[in-house]
Amino acid sequence: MAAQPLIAPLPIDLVLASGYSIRVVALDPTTGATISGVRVTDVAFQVRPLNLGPGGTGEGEAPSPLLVPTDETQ
Amino acid sequence: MADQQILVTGTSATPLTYTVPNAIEAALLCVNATIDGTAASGAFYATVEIVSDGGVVVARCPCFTSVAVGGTAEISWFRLRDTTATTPTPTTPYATVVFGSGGLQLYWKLDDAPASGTTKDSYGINDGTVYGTVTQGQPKLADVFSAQYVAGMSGKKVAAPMSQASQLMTCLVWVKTTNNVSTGTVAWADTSAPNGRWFTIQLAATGQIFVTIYTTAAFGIGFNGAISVNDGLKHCIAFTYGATNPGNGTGAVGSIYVDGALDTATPLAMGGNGLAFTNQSIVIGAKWRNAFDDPAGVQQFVGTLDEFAIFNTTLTAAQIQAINIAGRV
Repeated sequence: MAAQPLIAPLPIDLVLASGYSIRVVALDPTTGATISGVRVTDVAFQVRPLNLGPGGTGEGEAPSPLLVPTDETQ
Repeated sequence: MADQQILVTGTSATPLTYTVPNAIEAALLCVNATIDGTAASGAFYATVEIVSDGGVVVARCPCFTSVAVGGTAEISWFRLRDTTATTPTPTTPYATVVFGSGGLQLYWKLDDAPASGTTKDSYGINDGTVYGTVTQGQPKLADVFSAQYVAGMSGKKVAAPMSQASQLMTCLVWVKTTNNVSTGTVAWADTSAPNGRWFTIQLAATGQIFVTIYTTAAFGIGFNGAISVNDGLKHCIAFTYGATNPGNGTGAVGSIYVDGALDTATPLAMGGNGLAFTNQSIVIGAKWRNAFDDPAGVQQFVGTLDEFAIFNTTLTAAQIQAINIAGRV
């Protein structure tokens, strides 16, 4: 079966603060319960460093560390 | 700095989690993933969740097309770009002054419908969740300004995730104590966890305002006013944090205002650190450490609160006085 192309929105101004996590989950449409047995491939995150720390000047104006995976099961 | 892309090869079982390292903040622009439901236990919505360092899901972004058992989908989550975005329109003369003060980040008018369960941010995106039997949207009291007080805030909480990043700030709120009792917490943004300490505002037993701000090193610095506000009357109270160099806290001063007049201005030794910035919740009306795990709250404010506003600038005395006057027209 061919993969179904879908799009979905992320909120405007969604900021990933220090220590925050991004999580991809599968939820039951009716109950919101976690659905098991779902697998994810070819995951890519695109982020824009905000450099909001001391001395920072705002979005996109200074380097910042990349996000790093913490819970991969490859 | 250019946008960055993080690629993950191979296959993972859901939930798949990535954690943002400390000391950075980033806007999440896009998430792409191929979802394989061949062995799924049921149809599902593929969903991206943003989870705070305290384990709270602060955003949940489902793809509202159900993927059937056995189905496969290539999904792209995009950050919305609001090309029609305009500055929110103030709806009252008071709000007009507040909006025009510059740097407004959060504005809880606290006039939502009593049963709504939320308190809308009239300026930004930080709608709050009401906990307990807070009564919002009460009819005007005879002696108050054009906006409305919250009645029954005592012991209750309104909270929302909040980001403050300029390392300058002003917090302004109207208070009215009940029966001349003055204890309690006006606002609390301190989860007592790393990256979770920002500021608190409390009233001392004798009615003076006591503010604690936290540095990026999570070090708390307190300063207090001299004017008592525990007289059963409405008061416009505010504190500002300013610094010559916000990044390292050089020249930092904390100021407290009561009814538009300066109560105290205190030099603050920031120890080479700027004002903390955080995405943790702000709670009003109660002290609420370790947000979301203390449903009872403690040190509740006894009285009413109204028109809670956060700015990411150090408002001037003239600006604060203008807001105070606008609230009394």
